Amino acid sequence: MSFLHSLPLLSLIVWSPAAGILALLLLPLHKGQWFYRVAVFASLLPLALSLWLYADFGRGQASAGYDELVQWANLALQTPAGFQGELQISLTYALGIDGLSLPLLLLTTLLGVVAMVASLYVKKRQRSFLVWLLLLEIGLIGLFLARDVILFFIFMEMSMLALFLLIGTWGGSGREKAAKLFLASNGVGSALLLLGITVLVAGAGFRLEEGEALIGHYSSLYRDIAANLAEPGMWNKLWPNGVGEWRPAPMGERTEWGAFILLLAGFAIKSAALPVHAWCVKLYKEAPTAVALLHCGVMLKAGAYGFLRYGLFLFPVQAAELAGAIALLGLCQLLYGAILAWRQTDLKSMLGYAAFSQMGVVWMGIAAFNELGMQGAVLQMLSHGFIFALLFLVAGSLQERIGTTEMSGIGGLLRPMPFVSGIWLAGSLALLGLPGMSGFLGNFLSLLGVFEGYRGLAFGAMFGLVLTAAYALRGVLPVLFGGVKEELAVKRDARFAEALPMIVLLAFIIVLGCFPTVLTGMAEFSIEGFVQHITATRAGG
Amino acid sequence: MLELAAAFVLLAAAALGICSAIAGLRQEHARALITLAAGVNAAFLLVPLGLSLRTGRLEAQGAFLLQAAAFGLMLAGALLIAGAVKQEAGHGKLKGFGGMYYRSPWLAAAMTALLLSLAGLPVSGGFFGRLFILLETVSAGLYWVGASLLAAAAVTCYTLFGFIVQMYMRSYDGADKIGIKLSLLQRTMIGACALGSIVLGLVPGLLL
Repeated sequence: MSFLHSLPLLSLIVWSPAAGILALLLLPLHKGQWFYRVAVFASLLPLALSLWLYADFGRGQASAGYDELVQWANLALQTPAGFQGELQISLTYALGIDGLSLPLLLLTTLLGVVAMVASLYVKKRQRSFLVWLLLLEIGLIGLFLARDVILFFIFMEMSMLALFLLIGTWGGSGREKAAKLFLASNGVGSALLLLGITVLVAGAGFRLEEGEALIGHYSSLYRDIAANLAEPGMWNKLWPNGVGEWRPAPMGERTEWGAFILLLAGFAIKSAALPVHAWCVKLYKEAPTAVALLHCGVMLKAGAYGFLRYGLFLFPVQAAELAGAIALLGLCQLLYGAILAWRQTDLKSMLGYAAFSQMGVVWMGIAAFNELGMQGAVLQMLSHGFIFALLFLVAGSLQERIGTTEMSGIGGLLRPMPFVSGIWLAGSLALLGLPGMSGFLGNFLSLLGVFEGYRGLAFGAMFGLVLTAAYALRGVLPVLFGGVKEELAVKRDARFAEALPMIVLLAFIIVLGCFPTVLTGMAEFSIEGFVQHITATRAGG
Repeated sequence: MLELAAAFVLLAAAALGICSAIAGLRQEHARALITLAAGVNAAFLLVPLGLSLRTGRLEAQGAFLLQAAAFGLMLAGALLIAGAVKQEAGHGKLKGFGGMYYRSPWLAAAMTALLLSLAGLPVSGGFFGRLFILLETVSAGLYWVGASLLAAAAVTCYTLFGFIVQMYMRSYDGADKIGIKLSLLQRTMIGACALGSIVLGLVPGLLL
């Protein structure tokens, strides 16, 4: 397998689902039975490659060995008066991997396969559905590997377009409304992000190249922006003599605040944080199972990941000042979501609010601003992804059989469907934070981190966890036990194609709960480095 | 004097963008909607002119040229398709596009590419044209112009997705479900415009 070192591995991981898209488009219509197999196989490619990458990725090792950087386009800008050189905007296709991206990449590629397998419920225009789902997977993988802010934005928009079509075309009876609400909310989020990114590139993306002619680049490369923000005006100190009076201004304090707020607001909308979350619950109620599990499992994390990488790591001073407010909002999200989840009578709506509520713990962990909290946040992101993918998978399989996810229409499931019932019970126990399962450690580490800085909020979060247990058990007891409904008595248990992804997801939940370092060990070094950088910047600031 | 002219042009750009976007919200006619979206794109084109006036040097810039090329392609292609749909449906309303993906999938794909460019979404010429103009605007410290244009772009994106809803999520309400008929010339021109919009998105430096 060493030949993989000579290949652009990250690009292969991102674009390998495109091979499936091509194959699906080329298959004749009467080969309908092949569509599903081709899509599942195409989603296995990035999973296999990312597993290899995981095995090969040395702990604490820099990711430079995998980095890919291709100059995409250079565009000449109007030369400012007083500058004797050329001014350009450079676009780069830059991919990279580190301890923060790798666990999320694994989560994405695994849930990509699970989503393809869950597409067996889709009967209407299956080929188109699978094409858009593979496109969504490309977007999701790409945004975790992008090391160029504009490329990150492109992948995010690609995911948004695919999601819009998947919800609006293949969703439930209220699909169009849900898709439009998703578009409107995410459109605002995208506009805020794009403005934030533009401010970032214009203010901190400047790079100077001395050759035969002096060339000033506005670069959207993450490392250029990070370097300039860490040492503002560095290039001003290195400015050669005799190139005129003009200097690109480094970002001032007000501009930094502006960029940070824009990015924070944009990513908050993308990850459906309080108070901009209404679209996401509607989405989960209407979206097909494969889409709901991929959005809840990955896309929500993309917002939190984006904030970590482009908000917190680039603007630690601003993030530190707002950390208390973010932690408080996280707590409100945990409590408010839990209360709403408890009041739901529909399983999918309950899961939607539960997912929203549990993301509050991620925000609290991030806002803790210490190693424990951030590790907890990363672990909670992974755990959240696996647990909700599993629960949505079970809810989808119930909907497929019973035609509803209303709790009143489901009862005494344990006797006719013991396997599905067992998985639902296990998923719910993981959700309520049973020790030995991933939910426990994610919550525990995040709150331990929060406890260091915000004890009151940590105590408040304990109440949120009690509420979580209450609604998780409320979703289990009437569904599994109670009188068996007559029409349910004849329903079959899970098929092999349904059971296998459920078992795999449950295995990940248990492994992550018992041996969290399997996935988070690699994040440890990155987070350690980031925390040191943040602490140094705060001390310096 | 030049500074005053520059301020006027930039103000006009922001006003044109916002007015076009708001007017598009209540629009049901396909061609009018496309024209209003073109208004937002034209607003972006005005910005480099305003910036040139500010510096006192009028010169053709990369961002302007890219946006102008993308603008021409997207507008021509989308209007051609809207014309063909109007002829076929007998009315110019948006619902004439109903179920286009299932009747004429290639035409729907071409319209989607053109809409992406009109809405300024990646990967299309319209996206990069707007992005570079936005970068120049923000670099010049004109945040209010950038924010106004982005707000207008977001609203237009929402209204333009009405076409996507019709094409992919609705069914055709006409008597027959035969694909939309186009002449060879129409097909070639639409194909060229759609392809050009995407190529400009993939290789934004192509024309420069």
